[in-house]
Amino acid sequence: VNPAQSAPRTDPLAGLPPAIRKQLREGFVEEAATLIEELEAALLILEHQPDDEETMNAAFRAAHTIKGSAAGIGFLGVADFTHHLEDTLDAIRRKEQSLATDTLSAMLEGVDLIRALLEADQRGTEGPDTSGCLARLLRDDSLRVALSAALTSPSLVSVERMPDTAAFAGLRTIHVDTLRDEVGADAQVYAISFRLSADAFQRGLDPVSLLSSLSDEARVIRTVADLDRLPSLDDLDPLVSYLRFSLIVATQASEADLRAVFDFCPEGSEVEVTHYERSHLALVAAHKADHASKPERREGWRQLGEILIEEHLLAPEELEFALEQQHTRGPMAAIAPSRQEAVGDEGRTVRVKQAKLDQLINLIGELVTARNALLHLQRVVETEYDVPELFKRMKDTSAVINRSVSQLQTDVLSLRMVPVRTSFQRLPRVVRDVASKQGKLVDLQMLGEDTELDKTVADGLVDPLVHILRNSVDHGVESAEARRQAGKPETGSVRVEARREGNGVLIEVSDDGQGIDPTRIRRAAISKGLITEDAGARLSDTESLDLIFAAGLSTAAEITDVSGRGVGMDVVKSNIVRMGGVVSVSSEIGKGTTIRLQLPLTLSVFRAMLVNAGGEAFALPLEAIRETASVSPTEWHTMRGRPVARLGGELVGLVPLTDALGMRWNASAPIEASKDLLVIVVDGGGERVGLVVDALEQPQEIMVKPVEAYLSASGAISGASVMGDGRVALVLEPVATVALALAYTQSMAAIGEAA
Amino acid sequence: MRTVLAVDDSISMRQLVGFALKKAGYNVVEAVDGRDALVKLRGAKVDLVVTDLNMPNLDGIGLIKEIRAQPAYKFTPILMLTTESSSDKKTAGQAAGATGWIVKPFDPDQFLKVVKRVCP
Repeated sequence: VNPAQSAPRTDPLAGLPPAIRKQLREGFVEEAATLIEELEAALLILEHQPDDEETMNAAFRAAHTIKGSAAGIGFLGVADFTHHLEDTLDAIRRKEQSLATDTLSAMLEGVDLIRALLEADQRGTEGPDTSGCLARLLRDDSLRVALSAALTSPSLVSVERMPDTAAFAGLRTIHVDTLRDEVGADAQVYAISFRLSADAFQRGLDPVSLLSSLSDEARVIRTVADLDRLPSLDDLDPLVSYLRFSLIVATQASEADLRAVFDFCPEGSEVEVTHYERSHLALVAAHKADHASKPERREGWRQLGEILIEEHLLAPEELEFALEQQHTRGPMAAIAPSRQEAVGDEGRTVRVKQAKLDQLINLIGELVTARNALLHLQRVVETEYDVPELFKRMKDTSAVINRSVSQLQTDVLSLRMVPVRTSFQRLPRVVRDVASKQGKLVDLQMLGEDTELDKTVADGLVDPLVHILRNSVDHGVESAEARRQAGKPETGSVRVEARREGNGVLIEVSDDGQGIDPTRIRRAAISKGLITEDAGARLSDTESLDLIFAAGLSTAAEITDVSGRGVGMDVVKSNIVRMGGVVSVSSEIGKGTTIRLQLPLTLSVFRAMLVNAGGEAFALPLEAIRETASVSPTEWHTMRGRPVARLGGELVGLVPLTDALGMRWNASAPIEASKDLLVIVVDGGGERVGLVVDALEQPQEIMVKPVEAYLSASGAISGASVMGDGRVALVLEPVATVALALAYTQSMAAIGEAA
Repeated sequence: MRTVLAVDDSISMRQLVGFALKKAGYNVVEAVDGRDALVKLRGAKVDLVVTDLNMPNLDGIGLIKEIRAQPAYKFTPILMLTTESSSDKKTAGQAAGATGWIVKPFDPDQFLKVVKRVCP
């Protein structure tokens, strides 16, 4: 019996005590999650750097370890499937299978399946169907491998190359000069790529004839055959055209002349003719030169820069300039994170259960509360008792405690800080999937990945970020064709940058796409009934852009299956606001869009405005408060039976906080025409409301503790905090609070109309 | 040497096409209509067919269909000579299996450029 094949079909841990089994299984799930992420990151790098052996080995190792541990722990679904993925990686490593796009997509699909299988094995349920993915993973690839080996054999390319020895140095220089003269300043460089429709051969069309015609029109610098769509030998139909040919040419002929060569390409053919600006060439060259030290197995567009240098179409100064540009602008074509980022080096670490950290943070919360109480007590002693000696000693002691608690608070909160990288991890995949689905070219740059955030904020950030990026690629970045017509580089750029700003973290997602037209947004909002025509007319462009965060607005001319039907940006906004963050958008038509997320460093401690209403204390996150005002009777009036005031240049409805929260048993005094009103203007979910309260207190740092579900049922109360004087303040969640207040206004208006 | 079968019921067109092709180094076989062309195809291995569309006996579209039906000429490029006004004919020709078209009138250089695109 071959032991490798007789993997235990039963639980290999069956003989162990339940507690240990549980521990082992939990340990594996955690380990596997990390390995799966490593595998995915490595695959995304390989997509751009297929010859990176180190990454290849890292991917293989990750799959190998997942398989091994899974079998050992009894996650058999994971073990079986990962085994096949490992085989595929091994075949690619041994160059028996090519790393074509479809294989790579199958492997990424496999990564998703491993995740699903992990969950299924954990629950002991039936896993997803893997047969489709397996078929794609295990395809017969011998034809493609053989062809690509033949295409890149040295004998085929060495003819063009000059020997790089001292003896040829003089000749080389002459060669440079003559070539520059020959190609000349007026010669243009084009990249041409074509794939004939599947039935082209049967229409008498032959790619070889087209290549030959092209060489009549232009000096062909390099031709590359793309074998990506070539099927396995079994599936190969010799009557069908599969290959794509890509060329770089220098010519005096016009672009129209080059395109004319493809006049007869039947429907279903793909033809691209791209003119390259010299400056653009230089940039591409610089990026590619970066990877030039690695031996290239697959010839492709990636080599454009190298080729151009080799062909002396680019001067060294141009390259240097480009390198500099690249240095300041960050790497181009960086959909995949660079290797250092994937491997990560954060020093030695200890794994701690998050629950333990949360418990520690809760405890610090108690301590902060006690400290606040001590400070309060100190004030009482100072003002109400005449014991200066005692007060002085108390003050000294409490100063020490105060300092230590503050330090401890910072340190413990920092334990839960994680680099924002963890939230960015899924983004390359998202961009890749959406871009490839829509046939767009998109570079994703991620900057500031080391910026730290509280784990809970980082976790809450993932979904909004994914959504924003989907939107950027789906609606922002145009098709290559449209971009070319707009005079932009064909490859769109999406940039995600995180950095510390003030007391929090700023995350910017910007694209160089078509931008958002405020007029279109306004029209859409009016036609969807979100705002009235009058209100629309009064909106500035900036205010109109903000409407993208309103629920139920979608302006995409056609609804795609990627970004859905306009549910999204409103959810993004409410998620961010719920965490005490702020979202804003700016956009320039034709230039691009930037979405800014300002986030608190941590969720559990934040600066809050304390207010009193109906005898209760409430805390509101400072970020949500637009302004506080004392409104005199002349400054507010009644509109449709409800009090309103002009605050911050805007008409704001006034609602007593106690009414909004439905505190009928101890409501504050009703709004009377004779008295001044204390109002805090709160933003939440794109709406604004003026909450009338009885008293305002100084803003302070508070520690939020969770409250029982029955209290937070309305969603408006997100927690509670113990104040320095021992009172408990209820922490209000701005989005839900504003919604409650507006609902109250509407119900009162309805009653008013009925009466 | 590449052999081109030039099919046209007009003597002057056949001469014009033949002259341009011979000068560029092609071997030229001429046929006066579709039926004649099918006979000529049986005799020689042809690398390209250039055919007029309006012809007696068997017209261009019919000829293209006949040619494509023969295994030996499944992949052979076929160019049709059309007039600007007959875009319907162009579509019909493509549906029948034509590779491309040349719009009459044309000058010899233009003509050769198109020929080379499908049969260098």
